[in-house]
Amino acid sequence: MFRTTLKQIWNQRRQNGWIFFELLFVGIFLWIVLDPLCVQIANKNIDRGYEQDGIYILKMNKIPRTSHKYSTEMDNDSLVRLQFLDIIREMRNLPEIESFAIAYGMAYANSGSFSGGELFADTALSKRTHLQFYHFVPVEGSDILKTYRLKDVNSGATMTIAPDFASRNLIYISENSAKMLYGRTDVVGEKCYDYKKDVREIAGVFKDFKDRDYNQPYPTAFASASFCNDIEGNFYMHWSYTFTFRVKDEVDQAKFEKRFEEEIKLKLSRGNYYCLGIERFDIAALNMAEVFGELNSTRRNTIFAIFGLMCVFLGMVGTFWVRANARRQEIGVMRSIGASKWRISSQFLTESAILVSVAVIFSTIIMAHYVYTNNFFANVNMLSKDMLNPEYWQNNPITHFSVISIIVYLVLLVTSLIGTLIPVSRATRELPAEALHDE
Amino acid sequence: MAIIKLTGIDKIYRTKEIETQALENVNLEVEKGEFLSIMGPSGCGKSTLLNIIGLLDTPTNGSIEINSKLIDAKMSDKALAKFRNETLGFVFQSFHLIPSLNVIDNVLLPLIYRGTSHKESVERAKAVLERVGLSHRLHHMPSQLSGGQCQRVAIARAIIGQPEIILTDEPTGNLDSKMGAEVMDILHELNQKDGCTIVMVTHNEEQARQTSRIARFFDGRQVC
Repeated sequence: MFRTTLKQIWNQRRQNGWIFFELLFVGIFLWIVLDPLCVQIANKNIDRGYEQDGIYILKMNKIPRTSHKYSTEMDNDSLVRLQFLDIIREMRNLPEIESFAIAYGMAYANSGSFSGGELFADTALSKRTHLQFYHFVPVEGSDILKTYRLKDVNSGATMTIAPDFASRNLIYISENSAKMLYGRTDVVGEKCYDYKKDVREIAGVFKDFKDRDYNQPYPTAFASASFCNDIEGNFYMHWSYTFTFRVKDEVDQAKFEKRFEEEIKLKLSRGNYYCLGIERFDIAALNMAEVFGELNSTRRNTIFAIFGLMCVFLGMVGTFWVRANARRQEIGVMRSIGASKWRISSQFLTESAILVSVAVIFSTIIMAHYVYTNNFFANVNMLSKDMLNPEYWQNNPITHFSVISIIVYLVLLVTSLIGTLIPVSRATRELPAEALHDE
Repeated sequence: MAIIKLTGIDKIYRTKEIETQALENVNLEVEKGEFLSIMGPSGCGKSTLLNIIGLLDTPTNGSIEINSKLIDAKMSDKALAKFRNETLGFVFQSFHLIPSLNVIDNVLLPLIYRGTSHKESVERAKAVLERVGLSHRLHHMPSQLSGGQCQRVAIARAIIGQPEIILTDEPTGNLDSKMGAEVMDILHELNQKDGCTIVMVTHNEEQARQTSRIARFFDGRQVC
């Protein structure tokens, strides 16, 4: 049967040529559209390295100087420091809160802020990595590792900040940072250096951490710094420090959010500071994706992919509708000599599958040349080539090309087969006598 | 013994506006090995009757028994297809060859549907094409053949599966007299030498007289 089908395709090559070219162009189009979409989805699905559920950001603001409510007396550095510490204590003592973290600047996941720096594995400053620093303020029981529930890369245990974190100038680095610097992850106790050759001791290595939900994990360090070992009062301290916290697992988050809005928020006003509210980490991640255009990009790519698939689907339905009608008598003849409805449908489906397969082979060759000259879609933010983790399929050129090509093939195949089956099934439902009636 | 038995066959075509009775209470038996001609004016229901015998169409009322097997509406599509493939062979007035397949591929198609191996199908196709005098045209496309040759290919396709019944609808209608005679010779040979039962719809009185029996139809009714 397959041999006969091949012969028919070849003998009808002139008519099949048009559908072949349609499939070829759609194959290329789908490749270009599905590549970024698949990479975006794959990057998004990489483990964040922390538990997002249950973490909130406390949003504070300050009464503007032009407002009649503004108090000049309350706005000196020592007073605002005390006001801010008081707010921290008020929050820390809430029964729902498990842990909290104070970081310098907008240092929380999906904040959009980026505090880049370099670390070196030796004093010769030869082995280095670029990474993002989360400058952490270790006061009042603040613990960023516990709040994010970061896991030790070797033991898998949830990590906590060492009590002498600031005094010993300790640093916690991510798995990818350790690999970049030392080529291994069992590096607790090792020394690393900044560009001034100031030494730091590595206190722990946590699993790869995603600062932005839609990007791949970037090398990250949680470090202390002389400028943030304590809270310092200043006019803009509601921007200088970020307060994030985790609620206990047993807490009903919806109830807590309601209680916060109706009750707790009002108790957090100190001096000129007042509370705007709290924001869940997953909402912050969504906002971040929206602000940085990632949501729009994903939506656009999804819409293009759907558009491409609809074109293929309607193209195949239309083409096979016409072909099934043109071959109506042929279908009647086939039924008269003993072909079942399914046998006829399967022959047309085989024809479609062969056409799709040949078209995808050619479109894949064209796309191989395209990615060789233009590279793949990556969406890895600031990661340089040597920082890409080869364990992710999207970072391995051969795997990346194969995965996208297979997805394009399967999507095109399924769409084409459905697009073929509908008109052919309709044609086979006709009584053979009617199909053969040619007078 | 009747190989085809039609009892009380009615066929009514219905549209929104009109109802046309193509066949009315047809009772017909065809004996095994018989060569039956069905005659009548255009529109009398001859082809409809042939299509019903060939299971290409369904009667509105009545029963069909072929080879002692009662054909009912409950038969699955697969079972009907198998029955057509193994028991019936069709030869149409306008040949109905598949234009995108060459002669040998057209002929071996019923065996492919039956699941016969390609090698055996090719051998049997060559044998039947030799029998109808077309062994030199195996790889020609239908468009490269004359009308008579096309009809001989259609006959080869109808007999390759060695069916017990051949149904043919005006097999010489599109052919000149010489080619028509050649086709009729083949049909007679199949009837006499192979013992095939043949039911032929024709307008040609002379050809009909050469067959074992003539059934005449008028306005959907069998008149003799």
